Amino acid sequence: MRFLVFDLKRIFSGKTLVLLCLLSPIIVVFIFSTVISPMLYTAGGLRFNLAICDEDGSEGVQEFISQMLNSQALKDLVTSYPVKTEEDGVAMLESGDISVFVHVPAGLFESMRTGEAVKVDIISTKAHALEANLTSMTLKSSLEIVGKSQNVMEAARLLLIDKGVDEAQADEYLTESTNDAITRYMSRRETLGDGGPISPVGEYLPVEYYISAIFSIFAALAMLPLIHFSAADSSGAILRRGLLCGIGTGGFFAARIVSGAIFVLLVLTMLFPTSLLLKLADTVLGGSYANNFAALAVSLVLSALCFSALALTVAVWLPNENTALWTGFFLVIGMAAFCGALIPEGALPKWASLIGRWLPIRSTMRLLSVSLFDFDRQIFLQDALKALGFSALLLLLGWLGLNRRGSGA
Amino acid sequence: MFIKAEGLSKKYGGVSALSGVSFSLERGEVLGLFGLNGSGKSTLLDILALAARPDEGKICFDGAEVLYKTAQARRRIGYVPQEIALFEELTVRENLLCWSRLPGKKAKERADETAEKLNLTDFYKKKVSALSGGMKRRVNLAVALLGQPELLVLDEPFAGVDADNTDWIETKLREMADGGVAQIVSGHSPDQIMPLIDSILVLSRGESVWYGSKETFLAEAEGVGVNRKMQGIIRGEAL
Repeated sequence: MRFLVFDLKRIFSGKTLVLLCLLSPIIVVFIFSTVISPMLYTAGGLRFNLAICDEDGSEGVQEFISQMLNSQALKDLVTSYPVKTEEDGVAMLESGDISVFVHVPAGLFESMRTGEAVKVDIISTKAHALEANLTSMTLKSSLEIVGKSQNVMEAARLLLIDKGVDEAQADEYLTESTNDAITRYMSRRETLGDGGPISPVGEYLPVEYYISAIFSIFAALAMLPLIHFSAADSSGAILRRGLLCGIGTGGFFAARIVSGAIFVLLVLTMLFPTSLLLKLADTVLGGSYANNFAALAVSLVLSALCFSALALTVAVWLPNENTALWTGFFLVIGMAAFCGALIPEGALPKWASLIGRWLPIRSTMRLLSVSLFDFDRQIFLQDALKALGFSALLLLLGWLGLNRRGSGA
Repeated sequence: MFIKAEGLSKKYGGVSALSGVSFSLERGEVLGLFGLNGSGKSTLLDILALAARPDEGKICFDGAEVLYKTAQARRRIGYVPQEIALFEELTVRENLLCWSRLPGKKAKERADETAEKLNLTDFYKKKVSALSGGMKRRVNLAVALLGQPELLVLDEPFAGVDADNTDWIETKLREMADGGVAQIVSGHSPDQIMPLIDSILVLSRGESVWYGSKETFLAEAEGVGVNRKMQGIIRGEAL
């Protein structure tokens, strides 16, 4: 225990390092949201053509599409082309005339009214994955909210009929109130974008993507100081002295894993206020983030444990500190690239995406994303188990490597 | 006989680092260990400090073999590695507490006592990174003394230490030897550690090429010079 306390004191002794670890992700998120992303949006680099095939054709869906295309998220980015059939849309996509094709199936509005699951197809090519993601995110969150409003309106319609109001009048009420709800929601979405806490310059951004990506990358980068400490200690006289002073490989291992995990947790700490802000957006400003604090806490602990174990493994299996540090650095970059943290996963070649599925950053990114923005128990459990599996494997490798270093003792 | 080492051998990946080395040591005796780089000095010291296990041979403390009771035996050994095995980010006091085997209050008392003994009190609350090379050597030694060892194993304790600190460390080690602490001290230059030692073991390519008392060595070196005699032994030349 005493060794752990001093190990923590060592790791946290560099105040500049600690401050950098704490603030860097926030600074990068801020720069991304205030400079890089608006540049992408306003420079026209992201402007794209979109075709919509509305097989439903109802007034509600038309209103919804109109509002969506004029939303803060898409209005300056999208030129839309209506097409009559799905084949026409796919043909335009194949010829390169459009980047994204949205197919609204027949009966969508009715399905929403009756509370059934609805599905809108968003078809794109790998080269336009970012545009497809942006469209998908806007559409998904809008559909969710509108769907919920629909259910409330439908309940109100039934209540009106129960109370003896004429069915035609009740239907008219439903159509009007639904359109009103869509308009209000889409307008509120703009308000959220303009003055909301996520994007200070007023642009709607795919925050789900870059907040989890940036924090995951920084958590992985936090491995570098840990690799430095572990490599220096385990290759030099420190480990030997530790063994002779009765600390033993077990004590050394436990102290380094726990202190490393606490250090990585520090980097991820700022996700808690972020989550609070999102919660605020959800309840006050009308956002649609279903975050879960307990899941977030579990995600942070698992991510921290995973990266702490990875840092120790790299440090004890590579021959010296310099090699371990460079390997650690390139490992972070490689993992980030393969896991879709640097570029969206949809834009990656299939083989790269497959490799990425078996790297820890992907699980941690998904855990953070799911627990911060769109909690889904099944996805969370799946990725939590994966992160736990990575941690167990890395802990075992770290332990074996450390024993090898202290072998014979 | 306090310590008896018999036929110690160690291989690293098929390369012999130490081959059949034997010697003995009384309480309070200081053995000087000489040899070129790669001669097996550090391997022998690691084995004697019970930080590495020999492939063959045994070590006895007071007649009892220790290789399979290392945890107990380690408590009797203080090890001063050639490198500075300290946490640079911590203060001298924190380093002494961190490496202590004793619980809470006792650890603090022992740390204070050791620091006083080695004149470290002025630097007690300074970070190790702020100390000079010589001072770091002192702290390195202080950590080894925390457990009040019966055997002190020192790997080149004077490497990179200025003359003042060398004299000071030498005096302290001599005082400890007079107090009954057996010591094994490695070095390159016989001149530097000759005043401290009582017996000599010379290694070359992992083998013991000379072992005997300091008096015998000095008698053989007469007219040749201590350094030249040592070089001759190491290179296998007849002088």
